[in-house]
Amino acid sequence: MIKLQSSDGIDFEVAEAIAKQSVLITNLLEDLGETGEAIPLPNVSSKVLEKVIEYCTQHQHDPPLVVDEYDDVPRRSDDMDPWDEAFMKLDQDMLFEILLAANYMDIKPLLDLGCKTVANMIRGKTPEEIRKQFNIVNDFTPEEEEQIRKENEWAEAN
Amino acid sequence: MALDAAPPAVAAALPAELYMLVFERLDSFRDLCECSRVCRRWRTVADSDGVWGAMLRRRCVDVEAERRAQAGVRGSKAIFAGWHRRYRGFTDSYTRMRRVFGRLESWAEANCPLLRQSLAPGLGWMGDEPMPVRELLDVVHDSPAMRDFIMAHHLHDGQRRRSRYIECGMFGTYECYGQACSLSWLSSRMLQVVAIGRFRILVFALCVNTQNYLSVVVGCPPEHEAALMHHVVQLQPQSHRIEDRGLFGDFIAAYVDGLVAGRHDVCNGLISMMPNAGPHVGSSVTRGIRTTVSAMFCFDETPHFRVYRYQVTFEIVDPAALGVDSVQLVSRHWLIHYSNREYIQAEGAGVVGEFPIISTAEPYFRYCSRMRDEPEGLVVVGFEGRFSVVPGTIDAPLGPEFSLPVPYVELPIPMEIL
Repeated sequence: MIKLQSSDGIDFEVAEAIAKQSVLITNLLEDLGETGEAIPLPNVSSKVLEKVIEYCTQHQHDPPLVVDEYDDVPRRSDDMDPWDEAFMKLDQDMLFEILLAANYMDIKPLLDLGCKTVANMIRGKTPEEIRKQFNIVNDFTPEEEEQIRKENEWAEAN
Repeated sequence: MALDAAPPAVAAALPAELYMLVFERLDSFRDLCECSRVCRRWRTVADSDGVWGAMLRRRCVDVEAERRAQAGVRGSKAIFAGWHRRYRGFTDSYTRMRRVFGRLESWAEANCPLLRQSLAPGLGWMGDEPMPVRELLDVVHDSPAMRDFIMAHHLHDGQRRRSRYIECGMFGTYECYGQACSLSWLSSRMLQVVAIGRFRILVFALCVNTQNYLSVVVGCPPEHEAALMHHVVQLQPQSHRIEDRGLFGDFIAAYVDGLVAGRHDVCNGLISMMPNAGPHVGSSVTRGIRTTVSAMFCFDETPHFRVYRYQVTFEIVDPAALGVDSVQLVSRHWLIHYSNREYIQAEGAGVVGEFPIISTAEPYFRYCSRMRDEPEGLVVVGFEGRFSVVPGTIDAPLGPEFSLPVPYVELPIPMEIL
């Protein structure tokens, strides 16, 4: 068993196969050896770490990702695993926190899943709809907006 | 979960590198363009070379060629925009055909260098240079099904022949009376529309020796239109029999997939037209000898009968299981099945006038022969059989004869379009 410590000082004890899905932890264990002491994760809160561990527990027996060099088409949302899809039904803050944690802990499949989920939230939306979705303030001047519209004109016509 | 109640701070705080990963997963360039209009922060990432570089790779864009074509253009987004303008309406076909040909080239590099050498780059139908086959575009109109075809010729302008008689056919080669017959990809200058009865076909691959064509149906009687219009067909003009291979894009993708998966052997640098796996193939392994029989419909013969060519390969795959150094083929026993559920037996000594010896020193023997329908109108639908071999040689046997079975091989029966 491996002990992980969240930013708010809570220890989580997990099986090695679960912890080692994080490249960060794998590397730390290689460098430090198994000391039995908790590995501190100063960027991950206990609420988020709990979700990350839930994901890693579900996927601990997954085979490693295989990339087909001829077929690097991004996988669409419709071929998302049903468990993953349910798992990603989170409020937006949590989704982004998990994204940050997956990036920091270097858990590729979770990072990929999170990015896919965010990409799905963007797909097919207008800039205004995107701003609303993510609560973003439009900081362009009208002149800038007009210029960007022109720059992207080529994409409008079919 | 109260989505609306969530405080907004985090989305804006996401580092650029994560936005990069998100944007790289947008498969539509339009979505990416919309992202660049959201806010300044998003714009910096959504217009970046990293994100558009990924888009260019995903669409299999030949960036070097685009740089040459769009002199002075900088930045991945601008290159993509230029590419998109140039190939407007054809971009999906571009990606699809680039992927197919990329796959073919890297397969050929390792497995069939002759083919790789003979593949000439495209003439650039999409460029500004005059297109020698402009009139062909009138034939194909704006058919979505034909865009892949046009694009394939844009990217690859046929095969350069190394010499007049020795060709490396992109669509395979087979032995025909000692001559190698190859179906070669025609250059776009040689594309032509041919009338066959009430059909009009656009020929894109040709075997000079046998006048076998691979072509696309560009005009046909109304009763065939739904099933055959714009389909790839293999045919020989005299016989009016065709084999439907589906729409061009599907046909060529499936063909290249088959090559990569090892569905065709490469012998002496040439692709064998005979499949060695899949339908119309029977294979068995007995005492360490693998016997493989493949059959294909032949277009090089008379208009009166259907003629099939079949290929038999013996190979020692497990010398230990064989237990002796060599075997010699003694006789063949065929059971030929006809459409009326009857069958006949055909037996004989040796094969093609030989009694081949297969040994650990020469573990491989292949021959090709043919069969045809009976004059009384009986149609062959399949065949099976066995070969008798003797351990050692016929003159010095090392044990009793045994059989190499040939499981039932179904013949690919062509359509009759007369």
